[in-house]
Order: sequence, then structure tokens, then C-alpha cells
Amino acid sequence: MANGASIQLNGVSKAFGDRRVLDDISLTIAPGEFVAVVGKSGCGKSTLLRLVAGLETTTEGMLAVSAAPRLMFQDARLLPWKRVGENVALGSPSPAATASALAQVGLADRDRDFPAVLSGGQKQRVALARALASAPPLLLLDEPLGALDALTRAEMQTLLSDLWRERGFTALLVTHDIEEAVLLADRVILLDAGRIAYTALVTVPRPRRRGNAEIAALTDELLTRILAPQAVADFAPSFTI
Amino acid sequence: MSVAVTSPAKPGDATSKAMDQTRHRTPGIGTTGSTVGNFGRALLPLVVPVLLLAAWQVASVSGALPPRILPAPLAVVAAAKALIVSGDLWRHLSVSAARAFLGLAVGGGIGFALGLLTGASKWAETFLDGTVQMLRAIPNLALLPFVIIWFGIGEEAKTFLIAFGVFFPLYLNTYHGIRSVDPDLVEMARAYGVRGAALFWHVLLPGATPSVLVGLRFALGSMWLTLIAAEALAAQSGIGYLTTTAREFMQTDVVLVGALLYALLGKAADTAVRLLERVLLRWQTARASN
Ligand SMILES: Nc1ncnc2c1ncn2[C@@H]1O[C@H](COP(=O)(O)OP(=O)(O)OP(=O)(O)O)[C@@H](O)[C@H]1O
Ligand SMILES: [Mg+2]
Repeated sequence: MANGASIQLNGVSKAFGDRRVLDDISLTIAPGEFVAVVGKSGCGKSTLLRLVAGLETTTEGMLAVSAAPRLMFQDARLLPWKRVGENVALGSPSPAATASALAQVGLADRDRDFPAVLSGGQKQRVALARALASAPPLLLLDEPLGALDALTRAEMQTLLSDLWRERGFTALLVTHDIEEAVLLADRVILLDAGRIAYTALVTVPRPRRRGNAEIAALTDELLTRILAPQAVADFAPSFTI
Repeated sequence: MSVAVTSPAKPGDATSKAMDQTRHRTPGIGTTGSTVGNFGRALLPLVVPVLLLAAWQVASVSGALPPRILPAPLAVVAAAKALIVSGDLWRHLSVSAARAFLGLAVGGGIGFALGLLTGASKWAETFLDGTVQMLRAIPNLALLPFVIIWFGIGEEAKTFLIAFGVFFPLYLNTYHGIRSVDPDLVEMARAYGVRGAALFWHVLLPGATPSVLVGLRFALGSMWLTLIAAEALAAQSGIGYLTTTAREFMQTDVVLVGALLYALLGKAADTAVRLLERVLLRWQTARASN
């Protein structure tokens, strides 16, 4: 796994005005590692990813990323006025790399189409091809599958996992889907109110399958931990008279 | 071939509706009836205009409508034919069209360029946009007295008036077009190393194109109105000259030909923009046409 970049965060904080969104985050990601970040909406997951991507600057602390990352967002963010091939070419060093990236996501025959005619899942696959065309050492994914239906999502998860295993890049994935995190990642980081609340190592060998007992148990545990503090506050009144 | 107009089936008639659907799936089979229906329906909107023209012609021939008020339709056709034969029609038409498009090129070009500048640069916006917005309140024809003082009543005056009229729609829509390009797309492009001139050509300009074309449509409206007003004021050639001289000799048929020529020019320009939209915005309509 020498193809991947390494990431190091040391006491990183980020504030927007008075609001402290990330608080004293320390995290080391090894080359080739697949790390998933989960947590409640608004806990700072996207902000963490954007910091690593260089789209935001840290307020405090040290952040080091050993190579330029490629990004994938929840929406495909394809340029609607460019054909599929041209969109992939945006992230590609050569026409040959563009073609092979499109082939890898199974859309080799769609390179002359405009994004408007693609389905949501196909658009995301084009976005993935664009992200991977330059064989980046680091892939940052912000809920890339969040808008897809369950079937397409499962398909994309397999594709992502296969490509990662084949290429050996480092992956940092933000997701709402705990099971997805457990299925894909070596390590799942639980973010709560801008802090790392919990880290789970996933040692289940790949290829992993949904419904595997270990994965189900880990998913359950993480879910409980995410909901734990608020569950008391939210539900307590309804159980007392 | 229109899909909406398929057969002479009456609405609510279940059997003919079912047949209608069958026909949809198998075009070419049993379409004789519907072709006649299509033809009939295509003619339907023409009934009222034809009746009106006929009534008009009858009123003119019977003397109820004197030619000095309104010429007979056939007289207008004859006048147009005479103008075509003498070559005058083409000459005046091309002079007017050239005038209009010179004004459009000058005013529209400047408006487009300034819109790009203020849209793409915060600094240019702060510096220029306020001034432009202030000038926008002035209707171009209100400047007529000044224009005459500055340029006289020659070609420069007409070009200036048209240019002033088309500047604002193109400026505003270009500016807003650039400003409303999806910031997520811009962020994505930047993250992929698209910057500076490349960002402008590949992201900002194509993103603004739909809005620019809307601006062009508005500009055309303003362009024809200004042209007509400017040519009515004074002209040695052009459609306005044709109608002004005809009016002096009470040749109402020629005056009406002039009005029709303006309509023709307007329609032609509109069609040109439509074609431009079809080419430049193919990515938008890709879905509908597939
Ligand atoms: N540019 C910004 N300016 C001000 N506040 C911001 C900005 N970006 C994010 N925030 C705030 O930071 C907090 C964390 O946002 P972030 O987008 O990182 O959450 P998230 O965990 O990704 O949530 P979600 O799961 O809903 O995407 C939110 O309260 C948000 O309002
Ligand atoms: Mg987010």
C-alpha cells in the first residue's frame, strides 16, 4: 500500500466566527488506509473533510497532507455543459486515462453524453471516474452515495471498495450511513460536537458482506453511541409522568 | 411531427383514445385518417385571419374603407411587388438591418464585456455597477435632444440610440448570469485545478450563457423599437425613410409594407436567437430530445 498519501492532524480546531465547529482534533491516517467519519448532522464532518482538502483553513493546530487529494461530493457536480468525457478529462492527465477511468466505472460508452441524460447513480460514477482518473494518492468523499437509492448505493460501495483495494489510495469517507462506514473502512471515527468521541477498528476481512454478524454488531454499537447522550435528554421526559 | 396533435379523436371517447395510443406505438400504420385530421387542424388557426382579410378586401373594394385610411390587402401586395421589382425593398431593408445590427454590435458588445467584467470581478463590480445601474433609469429616447446636439441626425445618432438601448439588457443579464453560476461547481473546478482564464472559459461563461441569451432577446426588442423611432425622426434611406416619404404622398399601401418589413426583420432576428439557443444550450435540452 505504497500508493497512498498520509494525513496528520494535530490539535486542529476550526471556528466560523464565534462558533467552534471542530475542537482539538488529533488524527493520523496511514498511507492506503480507509477511514470513515460518522456523526450527527452538523457535528463537523464536512468541515473536517474540507480542511483536509484545503478548501478551508485551520483556526488552530497542525494539519499535514502528504499529497494533493481528489474530492467527491454528495452531488456529482458535473459541468452540465460538458459531455461526460470532457467532465472526466477535468481530473485526468491524458485522454487514455480518461477512457480507462470511464471504463472502470462501467460508462465507457457514455462519454459523448451530456450529464443531463444520466441517472443519479451514473452521474456519481462519472464523478468517481473524474476523481480517480489521475490516480490520486488520496480520495476525499463527502457523502458521495447519500443521494442514491439503496440498490445503486450497494453497487457503488462495491465499486468503491474494489477500486480502493486495487489502487491502494488513502480514502477518507464522510457518511451518514453507519453500515456503509463499517462495510468500507478500516477505522470508523465518531465525531460529536466537533470532537472525536470514539474510534472503532474494523478488522473484518474483505470482501465484506452486509448481514455479516460482526459488521451488524459493530454498526449497532456505533449507532447506540451516536444516539446515546441525546437519547437520554430527548426521550427521558416521555417515560416519566 | 407533433405528438400532441395525433388524431381527430374526440376527448372522452374511450375507444378512439385507445386507438390513439395504438397509433402512437405504431406510426405509419393506419395514419391516413389522422393525416387528414392533422392537416385540418393545422389550417384551423388560419380561418380567422383569412376571414378578416377577406372582409377587409371587400370593405375596401366596396368603398366602405377608403384607401387613405387603410389600403386594400391586394393593394399592399401590389405595392410590395413593385418595391421588390424596383429593388427598393431590398435596399431599404438591408440599410435598416445593417443599422440595427451595428447598434447591437456596439452597445451589446460593450454591455456583454462590462457584464462579464463586473460579474467575474468583485473589484470591477464595486467600481462600475453602481454607475451603470444609475444610467439604466434613463430611457434611451429621452436622450434624443442631446443626441441631436451631439451627433446631429445622421447615422451616428441612430447607432448611439440603439447601442444605448441594447446595452442594459445585455449588461444586466450577463452580470447576473456570471453571478448565478453555481458556486459549488466553481469550488469543484477550483479543487480540480481549473483557475483564471480556464475557469472563465470552461465554467463561468458557459454557466452564464442561458442568461446572456435572455438578455439578447430583451435587447432585440429594444433594438427594433429604437430603430423605428430613430428612422421616423430622420433618414435618407431605410424602411423608415420609405414609410415617411410614402406618408407624404399618402401611399398608405407602402406605409403598411414598411410596417410588415419591420415585423419581418423582428421575426428573423428572433428566429436567429432561437437557433443560437438550440446550438449553445444543447446541454440543457439534451434530456428532452433524447
Ligand atoms: N462556511 C461556514 N460558515 C459558518 N458556519 C459554517 C460554515 N460551514 C459550516 N458551518 C457550521 O459548522 C457546523 C458543522 O458543519 P458541517 O457541514 O461540517 O456539518 P456536517 O457534520 O457535515 O453535517 P451534515 O451531516 O448535515 O452534512 C454547522 O453548525 C455549520 O452551520
Ligand atoms: Mg456534511
